[in-house]
Amino acid sequence: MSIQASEVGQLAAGAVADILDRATSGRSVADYAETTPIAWSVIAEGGWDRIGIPESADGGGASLRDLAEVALAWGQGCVALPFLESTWARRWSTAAREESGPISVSVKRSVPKAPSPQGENRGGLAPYGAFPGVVLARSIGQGDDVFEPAPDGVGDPFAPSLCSSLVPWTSQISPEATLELGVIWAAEAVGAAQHLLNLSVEYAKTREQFGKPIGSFQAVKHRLADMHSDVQYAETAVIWASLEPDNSRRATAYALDTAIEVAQSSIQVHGGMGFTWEMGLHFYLRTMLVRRQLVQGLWA
Amino acid sequence: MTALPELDGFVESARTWLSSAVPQRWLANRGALSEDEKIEIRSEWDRQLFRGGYAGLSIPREYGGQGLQLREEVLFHELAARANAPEGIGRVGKILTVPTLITHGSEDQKARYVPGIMAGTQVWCQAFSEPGAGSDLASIATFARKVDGGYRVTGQKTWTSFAQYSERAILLAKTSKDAPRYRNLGFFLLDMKQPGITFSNIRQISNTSHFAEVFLDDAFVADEDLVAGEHDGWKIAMTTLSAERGGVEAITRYVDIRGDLDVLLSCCAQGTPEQPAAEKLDVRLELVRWQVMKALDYVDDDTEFFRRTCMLKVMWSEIWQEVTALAIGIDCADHEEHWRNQYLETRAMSIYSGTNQIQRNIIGDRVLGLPR
Repeated sequence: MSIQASEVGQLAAGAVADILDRATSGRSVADYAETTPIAWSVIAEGGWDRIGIPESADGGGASLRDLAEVALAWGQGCVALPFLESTWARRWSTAAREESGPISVSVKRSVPKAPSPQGENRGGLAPYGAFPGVVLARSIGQGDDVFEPAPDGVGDPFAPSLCSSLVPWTSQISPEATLELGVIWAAEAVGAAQHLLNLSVEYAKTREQFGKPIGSFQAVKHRLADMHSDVQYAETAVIWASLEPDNSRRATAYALDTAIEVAQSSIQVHGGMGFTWEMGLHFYLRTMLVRRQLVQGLWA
Repeated sequence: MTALPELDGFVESARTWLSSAVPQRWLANRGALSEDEKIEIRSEWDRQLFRGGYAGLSIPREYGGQGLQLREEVLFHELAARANAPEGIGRVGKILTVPTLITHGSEDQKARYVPGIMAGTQVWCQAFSEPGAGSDLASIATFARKVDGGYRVTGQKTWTSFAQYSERAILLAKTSKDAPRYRNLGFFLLDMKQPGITFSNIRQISNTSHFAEVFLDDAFVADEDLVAGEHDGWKIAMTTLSAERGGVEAITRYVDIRGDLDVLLSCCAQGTPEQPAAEKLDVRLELVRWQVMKALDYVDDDTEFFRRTCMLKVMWSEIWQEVTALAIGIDCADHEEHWRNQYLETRAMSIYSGTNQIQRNIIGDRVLGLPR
């Protein structure tokens, strides 16, 4: 009688939080966002990318609600690793379970580029397409899914932790799997928003102006209170999206938009430091912006 | 509607009870009833709830409640609101007085007052705010002077709902002229039916009156109607107020707003420019209900529960204001009267039950741990 994640979801979310903590604790995101602080083998050896496979196929039997819980935890890290994509691909594709390495997909653009002189441009954007050793799925959930190494495409360096690249084709994904991927990416963004709120609260407690911590001023305090409300409702939207497929799209869209607003506020609360490269808040924001773009592409 | 099969039996019997209990003349023409008729139906509703076994669902059995969980209480309020049931006039007693007495009251006070509140035979009101003490509640001026056997209270209270129908009030008054702030207040159980008490209705911008001013002129409170110590009032008032802002209220408001938003969506059905904004409000409103459901999973942990409920009042009050502000801008002849009234009524919502600015202070101070 609950809308909480099940035991497997809570266990996996806790494990993911520990993995992130060991790799990034005490480090600024700016210090690791452009590298890979967690090796793929850490995920593969723990079997964390297999939790979404049904129990009947010897997987962890996690539900979408559980995967959302895991993505909420994972999003706090801003780590360049196709963990969520691989977990989702193995859930929906038996062929993906035969692969041992990281997997991702190429997503079409909701507003495609103008056609080149050679003809129509049907290319997509592949998160982690430039990640070492990744394979891209030509299709997911279509029966005999085929995987191939990511082509040497043009990288999209905008969000370093996504290692995206432009790919001349897009993956065919079943409607159910499409909805789920959107929910998982939104959950990652909400996890990121929660982390940015935590950082902002800490900053507002320690940064002093006029002889007081800035968090004691209502102009700042109320903004942080609204960020807390936004994070709560965005998390609730993810839960709703994971439990009611009919409302999944609108709840997912709300969660992503709201997470991005929280990220914007976090940059403002950090004042001048907020818009410096070294503070690193922008890495999260960049990832969220591309995630929203990808979700729009999934639905297009 | 719950995705919780264990509660199906409870939901089924509550639905059945509600379908026969809600009075026909309330359902049929609530708008045409006089104020007296409405009050009569609402106060009879409190007694019906008790007879039906639905009063104080989450109050322990030893105090005349049903001893169920908050989940059932929330669920019942949602079902009742969906069934267009009246709102009882005993809500201050049930939501504020009873939880306060269970936590802080003496055995004698519980025995004297809780049964009448539960049975719907004793109506209570709240005498906290004053003209000079709104958000800054601790600065009230109403004074309780110690006399033989009790206190004599003089001052003025405001924003009191149900004042004229109440037998008793929970009263916050100063008990010391020189004790420090927060340690100079007492919490009393005041008899409202005595010569020292008069009141006048406050006319609101919507041309209705939901609140009264209460004047206390040497009104008497006996020693046995002081709750806890003479200077413990502030601490007790804070527990009372946190009860006011919780999930039960939010779910009731959710259903009320749901009704208004469905009307708004029908006003927008022709594809007016307001439609996308109305659809966004629809998502935010549904999230109020899901947020309450999420919080209920944490009901045994006060800190975690409050983390998830502290923003509900801000959310529903702002949504309702936005719904009516959007609606009043649409030239919909069928609903003009409704929206004119609701638009003006909802202006008060970000102010009462603790202003939304005070709510944000509470979130910042207590939930996020920001410096004061």
